[in-house]
Amino acid sequence: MNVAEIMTKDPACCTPDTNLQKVAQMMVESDCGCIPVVDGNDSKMPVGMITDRDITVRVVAKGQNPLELTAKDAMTTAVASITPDTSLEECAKLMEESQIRRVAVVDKNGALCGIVAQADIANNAGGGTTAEVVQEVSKGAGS
Amino acid sequence: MFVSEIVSTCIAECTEDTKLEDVFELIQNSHHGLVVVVDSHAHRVPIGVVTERSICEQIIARGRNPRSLLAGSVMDSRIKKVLNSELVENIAGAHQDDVSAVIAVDENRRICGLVSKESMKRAAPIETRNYHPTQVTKNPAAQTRLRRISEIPAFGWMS
Repeated sequence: MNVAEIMTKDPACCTPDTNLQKVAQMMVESDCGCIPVVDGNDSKMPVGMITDRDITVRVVAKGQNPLELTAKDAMTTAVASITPDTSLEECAKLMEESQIRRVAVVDKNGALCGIVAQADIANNAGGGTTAEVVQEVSKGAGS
Repeated sequence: MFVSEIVSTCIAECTEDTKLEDVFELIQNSHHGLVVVVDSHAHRVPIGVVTERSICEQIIARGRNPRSLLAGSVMDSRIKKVLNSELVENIAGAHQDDVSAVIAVDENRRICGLVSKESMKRAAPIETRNYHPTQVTKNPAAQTRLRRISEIPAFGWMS
């Protein structure tokens, strides 16, 4: 099985200049806690990830006004990416090694075409793989 | 294995009238991304949670000013309480889509800790992680476990 079969296709995404309120609204509309950040709406090359924890810890908890800030002020800039034909085992290994819970999926042009979450692996991979990913990623505070 | 063996006791607590500024401090240091709201610090009966998700949904997305709010105004009450003395196998379905947190309580309904999805996965027997009826029934250890489960009269959930 490869990630194309389990990924969330064409996920909601924002650009670094998207207002944080809009990002939060996208999370509500998409019922997710993570929005990929792309360089532009045309090229859609991933440049970061922004989670509900990023907004809470990096902005709100520090006393900053989230309504005056944009995605680039809270996002994590290190983005791991894979292609749709990557196997689940390789994806799981990347998550373990990078201590992350979500991976961006890009097409041959480097444009965002999907996202794979730890839960997707847990719901679709075999039992051994599932337990290993959960255990290894849970050791750290990956985003 | 009992819930008490997998529960995380390292959790932050507040009450409904705790200022959100203080909740933010607590959540920042929380490994679980949430703060449990209890009825009072004396009784410690869980009544909800404030999560990073609920902060984004209830405050940021709506453009509200967090400085003027209390924990109770953004509290998510979709919690599932399970007994600390319950068998883990019996709470396998506790993390449903409409449940924001599974909280272990004692017989007096006081909070004991948080049951995370990760701890549930780690605690799950190998044969049930990749369930196959034939394999399970051929495994003597699994047969014993199934007998134990069947002897339990009902789920111990308290919602």
